[in-house]
Amino acid sequence: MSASEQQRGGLRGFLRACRVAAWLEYRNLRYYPSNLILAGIQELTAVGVWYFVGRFLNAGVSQAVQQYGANYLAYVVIGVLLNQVCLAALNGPFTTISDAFWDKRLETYRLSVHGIWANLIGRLSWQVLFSTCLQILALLLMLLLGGVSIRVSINWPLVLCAFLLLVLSNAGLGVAGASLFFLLEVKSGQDPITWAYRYLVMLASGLYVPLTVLPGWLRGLSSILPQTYGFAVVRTLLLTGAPWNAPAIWGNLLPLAAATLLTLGAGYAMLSTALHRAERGGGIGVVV
Amino acid sequence: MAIIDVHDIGKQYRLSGHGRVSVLQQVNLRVSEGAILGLLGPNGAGKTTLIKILTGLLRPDSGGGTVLGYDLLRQHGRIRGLVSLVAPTAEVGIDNNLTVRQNLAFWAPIFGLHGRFARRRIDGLLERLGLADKADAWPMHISAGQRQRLALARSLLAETPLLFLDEPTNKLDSEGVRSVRQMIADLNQQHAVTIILTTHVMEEAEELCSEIALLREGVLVAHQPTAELMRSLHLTRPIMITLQRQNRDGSAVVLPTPSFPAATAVQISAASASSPIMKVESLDIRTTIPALLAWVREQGCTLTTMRAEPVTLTDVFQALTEQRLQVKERRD
Repeated sequence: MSASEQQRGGLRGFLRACRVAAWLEYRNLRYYPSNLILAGIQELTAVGVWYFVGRFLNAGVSQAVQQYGANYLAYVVIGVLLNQVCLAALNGPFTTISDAFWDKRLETYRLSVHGIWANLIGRLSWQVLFSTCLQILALLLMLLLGGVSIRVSINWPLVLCAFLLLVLSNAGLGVAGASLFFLLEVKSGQDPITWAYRYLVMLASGLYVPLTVLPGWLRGLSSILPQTYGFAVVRTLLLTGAPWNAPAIWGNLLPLAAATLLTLGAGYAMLSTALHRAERGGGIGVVV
Repeated sequence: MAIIDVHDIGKQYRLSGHGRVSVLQQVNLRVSEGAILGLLGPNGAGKTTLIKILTGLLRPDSGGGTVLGYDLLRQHGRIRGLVSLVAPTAEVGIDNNLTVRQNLAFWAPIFGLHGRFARRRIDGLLERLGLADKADAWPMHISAGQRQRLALARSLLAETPLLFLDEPTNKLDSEGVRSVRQMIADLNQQHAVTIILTTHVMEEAEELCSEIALLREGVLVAHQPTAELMRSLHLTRPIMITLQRQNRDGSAVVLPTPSFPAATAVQISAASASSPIMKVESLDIRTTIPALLAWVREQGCTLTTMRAEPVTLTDVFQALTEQRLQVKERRD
């Protein structure tokens, strides 16, 4: 049988291609163990800062987060941990496209059966998995240090579901941002979509402070951010042990699911359009 | 059967603040299955752009046609899955953090190959491309020629019927050039792969290609079988030889001026009494050299040195321009 007859399209072949892209990301990290350690320290520091800020403010402001168990430290730590994973999903696609372009391998991906999308999804999966592992480690560390308390009986499937939706919605925005690499010719630095989104999240999603303290006009803005709903669901589940049928859960989970569908669809459409446009303009590869 | 049949291909690039620049103009190209086409032209002639259009990576602004039977404008996605492209530098797509074998193992699933079949294919390619003993080496520890062969191996993973090589011997040493050229010939002859090769080394095109297409400033100025093109341009290549012969009494030998097939001029001069130097202008060195060597033997001379000057791309374009001027003068 010839190679062309053996070539596998389809979902299985695509997933294999994704796996190998994830494997390459892991290999590159393993090749330089110091990078692995530095990445770990960087993530732990980002959460660690807010752990101490939370401890400092805990006694004074915990009443403001009454609906999440009245523990500001746990509130902010859970938010920051989740947001770190979201950032990996948000920034990953642009970096992947940019790296492939500047490494002059984007055209080879485009000529292959599974190509650009397998590389994008595989690499993103690894980045999200790696970040998730680090955040779990950070959470365990903070549980040991004390001050952060989560409920014993937690609906883990719902937590997982909300977490996946949150990560996917950010991945969709990340893919939409990556499309600007071609649509706006943003060939280095950061794309405007993910850049703006990151700052909006810091300001208006309830990441550091509860939504109740925000002015009305900013609260309106928070309603368009998937993070607002994602943080609310996961915090409610982890910090109050709310049952699956609690209105606070579905009132946030459904908009989050809708936002995820919307961002994934928009991301796919935008990147596909961007690649087609690049094919017309000559921008898919570096002329060497 | 034509594997590539495109017509009136035109492409312009937008320049920031400087309007548009035309890179290709009304290019018509027809390539038969099993051919090696040399796409020649100076830097900026539009070779890479034409290759990107033919691989389905870039859409032309005008024109159309088919590649592998698929419509260039409407089915470019299908074309992309059936062609391979090797970029001009060996570094493209090679990961220095993976060994030679791991590099191929990474790309195999991307090209849709997996399992035992992928492993066998990788082993086969490593063997065929002379990289088997370097399979576990890091790419930075192998030569530029071997890295180029690795890039070629990656492109051959998918075993496509049409292979585009964009300046494959660029930046290689003479050994690397030799091995890559040998492999290109093998691929074409033993595996029936149609090859489109861009180069600005005329000698390479002459050695490898069954037909040559010349691009200048985005215009296809000639497309002919190699031998026919060289003949039509009357390009001669000087062959310089130094001989050694003395009569028994020590006096210098006076050699008669011979004639050789495909040679347009023969000159004999003497650097010293016993070492005559001969300059032969040949239209086809493959025909002239065997006759020349036979003559040297006949005369009882020893051949000390022999050098054939390559025909350059500049020579070709100059000859082409002169030929066109002559045709125009005749018409006028």
